Amino acid sequence: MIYTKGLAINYKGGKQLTFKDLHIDRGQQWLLKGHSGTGKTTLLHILSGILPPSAGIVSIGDVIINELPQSQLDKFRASSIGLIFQKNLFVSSINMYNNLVIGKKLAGQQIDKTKILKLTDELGISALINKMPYQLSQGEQQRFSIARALVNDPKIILADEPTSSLDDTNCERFINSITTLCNKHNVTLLIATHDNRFNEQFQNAIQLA
Amino acid sequence: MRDILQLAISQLKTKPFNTTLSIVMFTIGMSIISVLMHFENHAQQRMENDIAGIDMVIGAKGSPLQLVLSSVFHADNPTGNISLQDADKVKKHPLVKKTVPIALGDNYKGYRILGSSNEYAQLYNAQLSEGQWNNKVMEVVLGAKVAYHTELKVGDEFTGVHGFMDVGHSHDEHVYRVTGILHENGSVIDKMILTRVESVWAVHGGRHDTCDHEHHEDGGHQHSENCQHEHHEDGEHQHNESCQHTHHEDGEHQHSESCQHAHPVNNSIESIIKKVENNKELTAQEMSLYNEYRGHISEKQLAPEEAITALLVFYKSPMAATTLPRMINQNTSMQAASPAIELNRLMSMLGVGFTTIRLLAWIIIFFSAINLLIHMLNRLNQELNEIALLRALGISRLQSLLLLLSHGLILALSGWLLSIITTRIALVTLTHYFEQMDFQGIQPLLAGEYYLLVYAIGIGALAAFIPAIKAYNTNIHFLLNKL
Repeated sequence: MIYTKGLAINYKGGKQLTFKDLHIDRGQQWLLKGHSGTGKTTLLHILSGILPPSAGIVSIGDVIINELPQSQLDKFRASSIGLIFQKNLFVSSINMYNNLVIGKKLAGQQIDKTKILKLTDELGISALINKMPYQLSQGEQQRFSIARALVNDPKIILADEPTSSLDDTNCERFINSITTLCNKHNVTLLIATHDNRFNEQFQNAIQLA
Repeated sequence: MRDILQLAISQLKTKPFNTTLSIVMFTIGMSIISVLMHFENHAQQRMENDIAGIDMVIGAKGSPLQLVLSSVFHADNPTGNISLQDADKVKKHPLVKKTVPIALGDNYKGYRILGSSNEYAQLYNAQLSEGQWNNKVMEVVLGAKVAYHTELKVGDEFTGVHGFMDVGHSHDEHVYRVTGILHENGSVIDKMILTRVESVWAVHGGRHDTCDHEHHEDGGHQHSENCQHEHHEDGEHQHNESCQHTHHEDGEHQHSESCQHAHPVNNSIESIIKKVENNKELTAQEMSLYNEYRGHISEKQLAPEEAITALLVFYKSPMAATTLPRMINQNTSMQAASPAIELNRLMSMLGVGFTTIRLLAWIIIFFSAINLLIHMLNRLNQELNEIALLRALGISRLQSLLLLLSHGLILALSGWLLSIITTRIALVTLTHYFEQMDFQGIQPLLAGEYYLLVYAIGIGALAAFIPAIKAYNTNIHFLLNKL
């Protein structure tokens, strides 16, 4: 599902960052581990097509995304990749339901409301969908992040330090939710983290150095 | 696209105060320009309409602008009278197609009583809304506004007041009768009381006779002239009143006595001089004698039946414009003025004022445009992370560009729309409070307002341009990393 070869990124000033080749099969759940500054976020951004690599190839489900033109790359990202960010990012002027569907809407895709409500039920946040982002707690927002990542029926979900601002209870709840849901929907999961609370649940890990 | 607009509107709604302020700033500037355009357009249209194709106005010597103002726009006092004989010569000139006489003198409650022929009403395509045209002497037809404000009806009778102010000497012995009321047609005729030239002659001539009679006893020609003189100048009611007074209240005998009484006064300049020294009031006769004594020159005056105030002239061919006015101005005691030229002169004088105010309004909308720009940049700085988020969620660069563009356009277009509405409300309100303005109903869009729309779109796009470029080039990776 996720396959990379010879990935490298050049920074201004001649500094280069190279990455190990990845090979992640469909439905697998991986951790991307490493200290700050080892390129976890950068790798995730390369995988999601946000950042074009200086060298190498990225293939997501048979599509070599670094060869796609920008507009198709945007579309591909909207339809195949779910992103969960370190901070809870939402469009502050629209309610949670619209935040869940905004990407789909603007990408011109059909919206199946019952399916979305089923998803929010599974996450226990259906009662909150008419609230505005600032009315929710951190934990609630993070669960909406999961919902938003899953709304598109993505092939993969990439999460960047999703638990760094969560307490133990919320963290456990988050880990349980996301692993269960990804299993259920057969979604490949890659979580970049330095949080050791994940270790028990994940067999596969990539260590960046 | 609809979704982008919805998102833009939601985003604007979250900062209602900022958004409203930007729109209101933009609205104020554009409303001022818009109202000005309506004023100017309206004034020009009204005046051109009032000219009604009149090629030339002939009247007594004086200011050509005054002549045109007084006998075409009815906004000033006449320059004087011209003799019917001279007017007839113009009428018979081969280059003249048609002439319409104008005889002014009196008013009723501030509305001018205009003696003319039936052709005058035809100039403005005036239609009767009730009653009949005035076919006989002392019959009048009222303009719509006159009827509305004076509440006169068909069949009502009234007397005129001398001059053009609604207070003054009234011609009580001459009663006008209303035979018809005109439809409102937005021209000067709405504020006129139309009658025949003969009616004006009758009112002033009749009185002239009594005066003349008196003066004949005195044997003074100058007196009759002086009497006549007063008819055409405002504010010399002492004489008239003294005439009326003797005539009405004291009866014939007393009247002749008063005239008799005048004789010794006339004969002794010394007594008049004594009166002057003692600051006592002089009668008009005494005044004219005193003037004569002091060596003032009094002009020969015309009998009312021989005079009209002005003559409206229509040329047979454009060639007349080059020859006729010059001929009249050089060879006769009359003057010729072109309404079109005088109107242009007037507008160019007023134009300076219009230009200044318009300049101010443009400065206002220039700064409101800058305000809009600052507003947009501020927003972007706050919302760049949201744009990065949307981009990460798969929204294309073009869509993020459109999102910002819709922000700018929504602000600018609501500003324009609001200014159009404000302008309409302002015009209706002003018309309601000021009689001089008569914007009828909701005004249609002027060409200038379409230009304002183009300007608004331009400003909206420009205000969005810099933020949009910034958003377009946003490095999402860099931005997300910073969060």
